[in-house]
Amino acid sequence: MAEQMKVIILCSWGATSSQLAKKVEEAAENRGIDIDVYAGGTGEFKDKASQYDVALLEPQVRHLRKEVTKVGDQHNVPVELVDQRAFALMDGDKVLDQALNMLEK
Amino acid sequence: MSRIMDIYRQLQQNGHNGATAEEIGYALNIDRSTASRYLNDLVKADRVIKVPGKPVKYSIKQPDQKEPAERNVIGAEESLQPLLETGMAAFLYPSRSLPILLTGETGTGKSYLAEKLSNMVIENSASTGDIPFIAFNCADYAQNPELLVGQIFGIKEGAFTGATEDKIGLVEQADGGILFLDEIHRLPPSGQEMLFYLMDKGIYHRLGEATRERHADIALIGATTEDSETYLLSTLMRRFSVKLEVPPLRERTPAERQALIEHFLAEEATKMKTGLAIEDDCRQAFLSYDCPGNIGQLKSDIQIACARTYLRYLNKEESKVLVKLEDFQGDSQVKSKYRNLNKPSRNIELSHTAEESSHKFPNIYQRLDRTSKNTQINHKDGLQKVVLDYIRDLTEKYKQPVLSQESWQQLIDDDLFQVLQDTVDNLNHILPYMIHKSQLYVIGLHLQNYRNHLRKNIQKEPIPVMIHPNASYRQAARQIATQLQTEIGMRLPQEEIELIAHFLAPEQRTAPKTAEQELAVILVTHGNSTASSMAEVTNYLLGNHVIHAVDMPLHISSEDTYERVKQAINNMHDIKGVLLLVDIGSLITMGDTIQHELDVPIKTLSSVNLPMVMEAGRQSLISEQTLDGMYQEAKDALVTFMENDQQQTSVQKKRLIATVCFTGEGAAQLLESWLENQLSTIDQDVLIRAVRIDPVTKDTSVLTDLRDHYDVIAIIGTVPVSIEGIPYIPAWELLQNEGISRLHKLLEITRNSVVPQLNEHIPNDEIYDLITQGLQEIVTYLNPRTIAELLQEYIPPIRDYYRWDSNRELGMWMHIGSLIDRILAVTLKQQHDHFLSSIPLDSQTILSEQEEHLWNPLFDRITKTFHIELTNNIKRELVKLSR
Repeated sequence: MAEQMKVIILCSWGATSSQLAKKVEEAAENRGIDIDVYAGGTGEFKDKASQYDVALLEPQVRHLRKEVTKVGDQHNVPVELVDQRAFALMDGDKVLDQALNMLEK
Repeated sequence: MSRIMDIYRQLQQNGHNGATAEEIGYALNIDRSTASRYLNDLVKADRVIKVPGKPVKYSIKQPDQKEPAERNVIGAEESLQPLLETGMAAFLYPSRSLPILLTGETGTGKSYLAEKLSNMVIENSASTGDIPFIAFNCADYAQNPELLVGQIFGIKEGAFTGATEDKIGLVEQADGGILFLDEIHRLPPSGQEMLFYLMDKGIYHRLGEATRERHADIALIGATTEDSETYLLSTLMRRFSVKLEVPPLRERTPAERQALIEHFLAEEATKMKTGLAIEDDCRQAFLSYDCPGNIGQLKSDIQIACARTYLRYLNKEESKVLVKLEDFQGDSQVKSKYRNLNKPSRNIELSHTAEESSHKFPNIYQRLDRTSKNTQINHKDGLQKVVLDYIRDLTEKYKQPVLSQESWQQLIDDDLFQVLQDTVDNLNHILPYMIHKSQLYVIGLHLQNYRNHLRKNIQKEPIPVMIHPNASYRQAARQIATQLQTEIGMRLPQEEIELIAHFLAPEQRTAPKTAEQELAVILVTHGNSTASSMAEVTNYLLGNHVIHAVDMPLHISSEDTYERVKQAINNMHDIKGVLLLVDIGSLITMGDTIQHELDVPIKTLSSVNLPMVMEAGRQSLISEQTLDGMYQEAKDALVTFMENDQQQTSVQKKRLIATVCFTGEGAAQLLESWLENQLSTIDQDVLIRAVRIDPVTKDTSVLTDLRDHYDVIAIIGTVPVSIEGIPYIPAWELLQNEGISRLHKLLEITRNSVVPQLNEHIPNDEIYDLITQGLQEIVTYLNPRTIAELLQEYIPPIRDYYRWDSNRELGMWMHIGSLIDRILAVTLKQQHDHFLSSIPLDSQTILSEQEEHLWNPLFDRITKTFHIELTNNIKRELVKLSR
């Protein structure tokens, strides 16, 4: 992979997402995968969407999914909901798998 | 209606003077001796008295001879009088009482009336022994039709899995007495047939008991809401010789409503064991507000108001229990109308008639008293919680009407809808028919969207002026426009007014529940309820009663089945042909024999399965269809189904719901966004597309195109369209629970068998464990268990209020958990300023009163437990995120 992958995790204003992002980065490091994981609020995603390869949406902002997907579509950034169970357990490994899967598609 | 009831009615009309047998005979066109015989039967039954003279006159027994039970019924002398009298007469019908069917809206008091009627009969009866009265609500077991039928008729051990012992049914318990079945339309067709048989012959079987005939002599009262009548088999409907319609609250007299309010207040006063007074303006509000849930809602609204009042009294804000206008939770318009009047109040007498049995709800006041005595700390919170719980319980109970109303309110502005309601009388003068409420919703939806566009200043394609040929619709449309302008200053351009005329055209009216069927489909299969279940599914999904089921339980001989099928065909009028769908054996040849006997073209398809039934039902609704054509299509359905099975994976069309209206951007768009919010996670793949249907050409080619590229699972909208193979759901129906569950069913059966593994649905009760574990991973200062326990206690009402799915609930738990951990961190490190600048605080969101009630207990508890301060900005942000 030429460029480093960039993943953004979105929540309302970056609190839980920054925690989760940290977990995913740890998981990636353990597996020796080179990946940048960012955290942010859905509000700022609009302006920065093009900087990322995939976006993951946390469940508490699920209702904004349509909106975010629209923004994502404009910049060719696939958007998915973070797997609920993985989110609940703050399971960085699983969320990393999810992001990698999305990139392959 | 039976002859004897006609005579009774006729006598009622003649009033005090009575009538001779000859007069009655003349009025009803029957001979004198017949009239005389029936009249004497009525005399024997003690409902009619003979007035001596020549010739002998007969007259109705007058109310002063009435039984005491009747006097307790509010309205017994007014709106309910004819009902009670006819009901009594039906019961006391000589030799065997006539079955009664009560219809009426939710909350009109059908079960109350059934109970009162029964009490009156029991009091009135000559028998000294116990007369049982058994009441049962079929909705309680609606999820499991088999068990429901079992409850009523009894179950023999081993009848189905889990039936481990013989069980007595309600019929047996009610033998010799009265059986009241509420929501009788919930009975599956097989159960309805069993009931029919019982009413007809007095014979029934327990489930799974083929050999033994049981006998029971019961007087049956059934109750159903009017719109559900269509779910009743016509044979059963006819068997109810007495049908009584219980009037909705709005048709009861003001005096009766007044009396009801007094009665409920008195009941509350009795429960409080203290004096209770109500301000006149609040009483006025109760007297006049729109109360779609009828008496049931009126009662619970009064209970809620009293609970609020009592809470204020306990908090010592007031020295006496006085119900004020602010306690009334009805719509604000009524409130503002009565505010600012002077505030006289009236005291309520403690009720002496209220019996303990009528208190089905827990006594809120005792709960409050207990809470207020036991808890020293958190005094106010505790009380508040009790009241909130109580209000929730009550609202739950009347959820149905309230819910459907709410969802409309979310979509249509109050003032707009109010104007539309105000136009009804005028419109009915202009239009050649009575306008239906669903039409108002449709027009409301359209206008709402028009208004939204105006507000947001969205430029939209100008729509062409489309003139409807019928002048009265156009006049009605102008009437609406005029009232909109004068009442709320909303001005409609010409093309919009002309468009409304199209909405008023009669084809816009509620889609008829049963379409004219020229071709009949009869499904006959072996087994207790196989046929009726398949028919139920199909009829439900097609929204039409198109499939007639004949079940063939193992103990029924093929001769009997033959007769029943023949009977079924005989009962159908004006049919051009019959398609028989059967499974195996002798059923296959039955059709040919019947065809000879009845001279009706009949075709038979064997080895029936659900896709065939669905297809046959669909085809039977197409007006031009022939019997041969229908036969072929249904047969092909079997084949396509099997082919589909093999190549399923190759082509997988995307699912789509089309919303339709006359502009493509009015109601259709509103519905589109509403639907988007309704879809659950597993249905996220469903696309929604708003489509314009031209009012003049009614061209549907866009929809057929869509069908070629997508799996169109439903068309929803304000313009009825019929596209072969796609169910149409009228928009207004979606805002009632029945419609929503139909939509959910359609979504469910079209889901790909492979549900995506990610985002699986997490049951609510797992959230606690998951979050406790998850928070462990990320928090520093917080004890995950403490916060999880706290949320477990306080989140459910909030979740229910916003209707979160488990996704959002889970997210919010995590969000709140991590937020509090953050606040703890900055508090301990004394970095408040830094923290506050790191989150977008919200100073704009305004909490509604209801939201305050919902959140404050949680906020207070968090503040106390963690000794942190939640600023208003943070609270607002949380609420905003929740919406």
